[in-house]
Amino acid sequence: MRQSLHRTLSSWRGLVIAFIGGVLLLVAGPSVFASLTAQTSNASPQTVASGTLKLTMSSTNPSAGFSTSITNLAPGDAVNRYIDLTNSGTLDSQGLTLGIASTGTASLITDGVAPVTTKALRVTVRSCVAAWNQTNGTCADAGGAVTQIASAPLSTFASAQSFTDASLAAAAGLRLQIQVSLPDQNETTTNGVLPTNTVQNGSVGLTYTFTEVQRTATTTNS
Amino acid sequence: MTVVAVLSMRVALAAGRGAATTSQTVTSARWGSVVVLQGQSATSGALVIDWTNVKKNPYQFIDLVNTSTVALLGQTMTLSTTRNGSGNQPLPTISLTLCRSGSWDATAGTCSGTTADLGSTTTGSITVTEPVAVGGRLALRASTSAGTGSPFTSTFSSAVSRAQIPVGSVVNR
Repeated sequence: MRQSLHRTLSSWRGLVIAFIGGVLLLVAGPSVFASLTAQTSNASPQTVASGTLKLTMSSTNPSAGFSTSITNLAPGDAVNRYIDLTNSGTLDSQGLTLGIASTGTASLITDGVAPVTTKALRVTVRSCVAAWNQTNGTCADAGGAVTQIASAPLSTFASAQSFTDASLAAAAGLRLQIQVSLPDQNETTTNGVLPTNTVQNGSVGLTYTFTEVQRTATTTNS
Repeated sequence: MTVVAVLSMRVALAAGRGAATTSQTVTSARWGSVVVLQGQSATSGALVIDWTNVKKNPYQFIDLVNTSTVALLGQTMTLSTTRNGSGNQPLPTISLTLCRSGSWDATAGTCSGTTADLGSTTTGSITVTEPVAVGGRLALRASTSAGTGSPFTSTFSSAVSRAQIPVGSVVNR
C-alpha cells in the first residue's frame, strides 16, 4: 500500500516538473531568438506640392475685349479687340490653341460653295510684346506684331488652331489683338429684298476657348 | 467670363490642361432701299403706278427710302413702262427730279428745297448718287409729258449694290 502511494506521487512529480519547465520555456524563449533593429527619420516632414495650370484672360484697358458685341459689320469692315492672356499658374505650359464655337447665320460661319460665293467672317490673332496702340491698331514693339493665328473663316476654328508661340512660361502672358472681319464681297439688294445666301443681317454667337497644356513632365535628380 | 483650370493626373501620360472661355455676338449689316408713294412707310417690293390722267396730272411723287443699317452712297432705280391697252404708241419718257433738303408739295408741284434732275428713261435704269442716311428718304418727282396718249403703267424698282455703301473700316476698341 505504502509502496503503491509512493509510485503514484513519483509519477505526478514528473508531470509537475514538465509543466513548470514548459512554462519557463514559453516565458524565456523569445529572449533566445531576439534581433537588433535600427531606425532614422527626418526631423521635419518633407513638403511635396503640386503645381497649378491656370489660363486667364481679361480685356486690355480700354478695349471692351469680348464683353461687348460687334454689330452691323459691312463687307470690308474689321473690328479689333484687345485681351491679355496669362498663364497664371505655377507650371509652364505648351500647346496654346484657340477654338471658336460658332452658332447662328451659316453664311457668316462658312464660306459659300460654288456657285454661292459668300465669304464668312474671318478671325485673325496677333500679339505684341509691347502695348498695343488701340487708336490705330499698331504694335509699339520694334519687331512689330506677330501673327499668332492667320486669318481664317470661323468654320476653321471649330477645330482648335495653334498659336505660333505656343509655349507660355508660368506667369507669362500674351497681349493679343483679336480681329473679326467680314471680307469684301458683292451683293445687290433689290426692292428691299435680301438676296439668297446673303451675309447681310446675320448674327452669330462666338464662344472663344483658349487652351494650354502643361509642359512635358520631367524627372529630376537632385 | 469663365475661367476653367483642370489638372488631370489620372494616368501616367495625362497632362494638365488650362482653358479660358468667353462668348461674343457678331452681327452683320444689311443694305437696300425701296420706292414708295410720298410719305408712305417702307415695304418690300416694287412700286407700280398707273398713269391714268396724264393730261391733268403729269406728276407722281415718290420716296426712295433707305432700309439699310448703313448709310447709302447711292442706289439704282429701274423703270419699266408698259401701255395699258393695245396699240403701237411709243412708250412715254419718265423723268425723275430730286427735291434736295426739302419736300415736294404734291398739290402745287413745288419743292421746298432745291431741285436736281436725276435723269429720264422710258424703260431702263437711273443711277442716283445722292447719299442717304440710315432710315432717310429721298423726295422724288416722277413726271411725264402731257401728250403721251393712252394710259400706261410704270414699275419703279430700286437696287443697292455693295459698291453703293461705304467702304469697309477698321475699328479698334
